[in-house]
Amino acid sequence: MSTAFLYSIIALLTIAVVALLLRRSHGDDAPETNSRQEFANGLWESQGLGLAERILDPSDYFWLRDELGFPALAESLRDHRRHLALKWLNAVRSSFSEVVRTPEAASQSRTIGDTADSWQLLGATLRFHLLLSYAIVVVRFFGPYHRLIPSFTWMGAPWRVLPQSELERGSGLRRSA
Amino acid sequence: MVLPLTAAALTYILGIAILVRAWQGKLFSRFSFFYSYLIYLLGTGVIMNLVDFLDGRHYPLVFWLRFLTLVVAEFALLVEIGDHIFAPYPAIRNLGRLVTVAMTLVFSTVYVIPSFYLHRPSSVAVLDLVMRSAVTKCAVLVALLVVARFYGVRPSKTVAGLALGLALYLAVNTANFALAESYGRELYGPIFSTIGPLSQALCVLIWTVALWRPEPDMEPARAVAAPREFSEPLPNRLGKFNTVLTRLFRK
Repeated sequence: MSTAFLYSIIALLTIAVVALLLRRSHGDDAPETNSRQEFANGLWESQGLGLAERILDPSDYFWLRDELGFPALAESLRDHRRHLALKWLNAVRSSFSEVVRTPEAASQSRTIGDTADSWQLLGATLRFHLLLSYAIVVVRFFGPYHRLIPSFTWMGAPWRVLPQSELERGSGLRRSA
Repeated sequence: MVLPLTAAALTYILGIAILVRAWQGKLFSRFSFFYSYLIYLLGTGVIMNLVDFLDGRHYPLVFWLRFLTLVVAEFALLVEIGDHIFAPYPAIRNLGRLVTVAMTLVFSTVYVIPSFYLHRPSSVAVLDLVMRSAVTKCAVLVALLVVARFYGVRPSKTVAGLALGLALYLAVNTANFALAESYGRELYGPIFSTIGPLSQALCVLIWTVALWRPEPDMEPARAVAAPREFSEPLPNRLGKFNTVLTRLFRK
């Protein structure tokens, strides 16, 4: 009796959810707002990437907190940067979705009929979304200055070399940007 | 008795109308799984009625054989719906297949296969198996639409109609088989044999509307409007996005 009731509810829910998803899918014809599009357009150029690096760079925070001695102000800056970082990550997601939604005729990739290539493209798309979702979770819960790739410094001597080399590589990257 | 017969007749009339339209519009290759399913549904229906007319003793066996093959064929229909939703977009062209296969594997492992180990009469076991597979297909369909929504991909009205018809049929099947399992043949039998053909007729009616004037998977205006400033090939752009994001967060 209770099983029949449960499955009847599942059946009703299925119809409602499918109808809702199909209806809403057809309703969102409106293009993205101009300001959002403008924000997303320059994201992958050097200026946009430089902005992202500045948002995620903790040197201002440490300077305010340790050198000038304003911990409260530093925390406020951190919260503001967290908000900016999340906004940037969401813009990255929108921009990436635009690329994903590029139809075949427009993307000049008619040669991508091959199944293996299609699976590779799907792999790259899913990898990006996985990385981005992880980044959003880390920034939301741990702040913009948290290390996204664990440093392993807590594991002892053999791992102490790693963060330094990573740091050097990171600073080299920043200089080149 | 009149209602199931009327529903079955309506299914045949509408099914034949869909096939005639497909013949006129040369649509068989575009929705190959779907039309194969429909031809099988109608063809085996005729055979089943002939068996009933000639030798009624074999009718239950033929009925269940046909029903179980249709249950399996509906998974192919889901693959086709998924393919049509994501086909115009090279970066996620195989996403529909991935979602369908992954969801089917997960549901089969944790939900369908464990039911084989329960001890109960075979009639109840078959009802339960059909019900669980219908739930699995409902979940796959919902997952496909949720993923499409996540990527901002809109199914065409034709594909949306196919999905809606199938969802309605599967959902009614789920409830119908669950009620039959709970209340038994004596109490629920007459209602069970009415609801089944009715849900099928309703499903085919929605399919008829959806396929009467089939739309392309992507509206031509949208396909033309898409190019924008993209000049690099798509694989390069996806690779660049991944590399830049990985480098940025390796700080």
